[in-house]
Amino acid sequence: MASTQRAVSPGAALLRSSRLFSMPAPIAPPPGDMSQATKHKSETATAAFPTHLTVTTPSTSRLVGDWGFKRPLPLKTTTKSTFPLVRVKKVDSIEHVTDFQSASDHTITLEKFREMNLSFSVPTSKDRQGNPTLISVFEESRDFTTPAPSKLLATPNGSASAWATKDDGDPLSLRWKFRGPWLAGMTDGEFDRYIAKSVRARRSEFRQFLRERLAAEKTADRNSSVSEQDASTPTNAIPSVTADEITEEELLEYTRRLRGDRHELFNLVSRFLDLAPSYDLYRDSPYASEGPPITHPSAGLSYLRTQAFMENHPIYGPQKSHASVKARIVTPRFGITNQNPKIGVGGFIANIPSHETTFSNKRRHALSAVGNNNSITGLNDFDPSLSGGAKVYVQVQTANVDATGKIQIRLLDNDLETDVVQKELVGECDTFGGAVKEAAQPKLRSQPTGDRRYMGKRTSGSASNYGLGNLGGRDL
Amino acid sequence: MIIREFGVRQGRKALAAPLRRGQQCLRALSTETSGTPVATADPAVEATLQTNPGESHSPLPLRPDGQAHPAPARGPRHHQGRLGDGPADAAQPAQRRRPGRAPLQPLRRLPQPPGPKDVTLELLMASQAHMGHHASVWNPANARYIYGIRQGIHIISLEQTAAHLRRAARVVEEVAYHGGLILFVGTRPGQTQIVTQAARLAKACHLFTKWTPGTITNSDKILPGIPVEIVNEHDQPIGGFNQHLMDRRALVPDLVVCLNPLENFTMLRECSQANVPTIGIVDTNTEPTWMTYAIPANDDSLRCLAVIGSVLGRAGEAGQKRRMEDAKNGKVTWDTPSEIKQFMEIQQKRARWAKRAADEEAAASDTSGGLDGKPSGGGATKDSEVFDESMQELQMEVDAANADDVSPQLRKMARRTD
Repeated sequence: MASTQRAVSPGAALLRSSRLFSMPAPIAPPPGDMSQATKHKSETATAAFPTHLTVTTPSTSRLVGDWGFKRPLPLKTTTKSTFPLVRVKKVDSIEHVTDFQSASDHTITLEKFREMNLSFSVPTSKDRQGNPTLISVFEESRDFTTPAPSKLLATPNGSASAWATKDDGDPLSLRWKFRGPWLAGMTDGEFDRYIAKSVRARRSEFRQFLRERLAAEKTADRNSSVSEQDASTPTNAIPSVTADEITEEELLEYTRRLRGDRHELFNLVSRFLDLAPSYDLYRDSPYASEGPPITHPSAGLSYLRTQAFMENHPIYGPQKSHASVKARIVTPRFGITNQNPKIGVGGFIANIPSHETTFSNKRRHALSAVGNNNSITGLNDFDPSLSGGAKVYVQVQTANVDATGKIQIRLLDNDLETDVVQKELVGECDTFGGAVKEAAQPKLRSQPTGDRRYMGKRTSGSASNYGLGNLGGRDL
Repeated sequence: MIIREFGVRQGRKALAAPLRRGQQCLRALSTETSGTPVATADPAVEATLQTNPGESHSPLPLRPDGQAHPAPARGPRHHQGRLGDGPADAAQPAQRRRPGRAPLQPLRRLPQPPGPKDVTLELLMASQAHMGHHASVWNPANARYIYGIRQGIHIISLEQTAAHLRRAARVVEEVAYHGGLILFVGTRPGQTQIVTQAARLAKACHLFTKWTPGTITNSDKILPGIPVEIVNEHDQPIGGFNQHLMDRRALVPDLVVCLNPLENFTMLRECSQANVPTIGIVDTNTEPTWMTYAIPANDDSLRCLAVIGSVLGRAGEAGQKRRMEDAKNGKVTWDTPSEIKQFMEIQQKRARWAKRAADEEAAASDTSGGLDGKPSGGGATKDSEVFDESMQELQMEVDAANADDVSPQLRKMARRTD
């Protein structure tokens, strides 16, 4: 420590604490989608995640183009946006220009995401889409990358039974980071390259691994047989089989046996190479079906463990659900291709809930949101009459990061009451004011109908009972 | 993940006591490494750092006998415009101030321009002086100014910049003190205000448009008939030199400060041919041998140029102030140019001859009786037309000065305004 830490010149100390020097190096770009190679791909599309630091500047400095870099940035491109946000790819290039872009896309998206108060949860398997138990990615049982070495490597004293039960509820498969790749997500060429570069060279190491594995098995067998014959013999008195005692013939026989047992073989190989879990073997792992995320499963977007808090409304009081989020219908159901509609929530594309919800109403040419079986305007068909595109209020449940680093947002079914409360808060409808006005008017006493008299005394509490009138066909 | 390691990573720096005041002053005055700020040094970067405290103290531009290294005052003064006149001086809207908060001034036009005393490493770093060019376009001659590579660009050592800037400021100050003609050149867009401000401070000339090639080497064709005047040590114009000024050539500056040497290579070349010392800002892609005094700094940031320009302008201002004070006390800091001396000697001789001729004529008329009783006319009057009144005054001054064995003080200055 003393040798590496020494006094530097004042200028160097200044420079090392400067903002230019504290800019992090850019991270690797998102992995390309191989199927995109033959499809139309937009050069200006927003990347799945940001790779560069976002830089901002005070407005007075922006007016003269001073962003703290080598040269002033051109005013024409940097002074038009509302927020001064820029990502600098190269401070200076061989063409003597500063390579920069606007960074509004990711920065504003982050801001919108934080407004939603979402927490990241471990992805659940697809067959449990209905109402799964959400586990935060920050739970200690999930947020770990390096298990104890004893768990990862074969130990001579490990028992065979412990190995056999690894695939069920194995805590190792709950990790989000693995040293080896996720084989199911590799292309053919990538797999060949991986075999040639990383695996082939470790052949003798794997044989030694199998030796130790076999020695452990033999030791366990010997222990069990001795204890069956003579229960009085203590287990530790029996000499354990070491890897050196395993002969070549025994190893060959063991290898042949393993080739017949595909499950056990993959178990050993994946343990040796620390492969990401396969869906066939580790169904409990949240990342077995879609692959482990390339970042921490929160992606640094949110550090909330849960969104279990209650929102309060100044008039209506505590709310059952969180405020609805106004979202954009990006792709209707029956557009150019018939596919599931896509919803743009806070800058992220989300799929509609897979189970039966308001979104699953496939009636074409829905008239309006209210009164036509709750179908959503513009969800099934593109409606050119809507200025600014079709919008819908959605309930957001949770978010997670997929294997390519994209944010997947999971939506819940619409709740009309929550939508109305939120619409009223942002001034899109006036339920309370209308109700007050209605209550202020003198009511004409209506004749009770004969049917009503015989319906009994039981009436459920509703907004109309409290003088709030009828709210969009539903009671509040 | 990030929060947890924050204390480990940043704790030492965050909890460390701020630098003491005295050390900041020390840093402002010297470039020696004090060794107080401790940071983990990267040996690879450290190897490129070539700070030698001994060599950072720049040699003075003066010889030990006090003579300025550049040639002393050389030219008459042009009449065009006032100093520092330019479009940049047009009235600017008053800065709106937010209450309770110091306004953040973009440094293009500094309200209080920093002088040589205000040059600190912090100021230089805040004005982006340390950012060089992309590492692949460097000029290896600048290796001694370069601290290392970061973000793909060369980082110029702040100590080197500060030391060279202080040296250049001394050069400007002494040239101004000895009555030299200084020219500030900055021809890139945005440098107009910087150049004019520096010229106004240093009572110098400025150029913010293209340098016409040949302005020095072919000045008879490029700058014919530009009016010049002759001033005394108090910068007051003196008459009586009209005949001399008729056949004078255009002036050559005594010091040229160039903010963008890459675009002004022609000018620097002409200056070197005419033995005019030059000060230039050397970025990592510039050839440092083009100019006499290089200042390694970022030549693309207007903020950095504003700081350097105002430091040099302030230095010139200090030199001019000293010169004027010395002139009040009777000390003249420059020598009269030889052509003017020669011209004056001829004029004095002519005056003596004319006086003698007039005396002889007067004596002759006295001996002839003086019929009309009027003072002499004729040839004497014709001869005396050679002088104007100021020349006669000058004659007396010259006589007085000759008695004290001190040469008369004349100065010529030139100004080229665009």
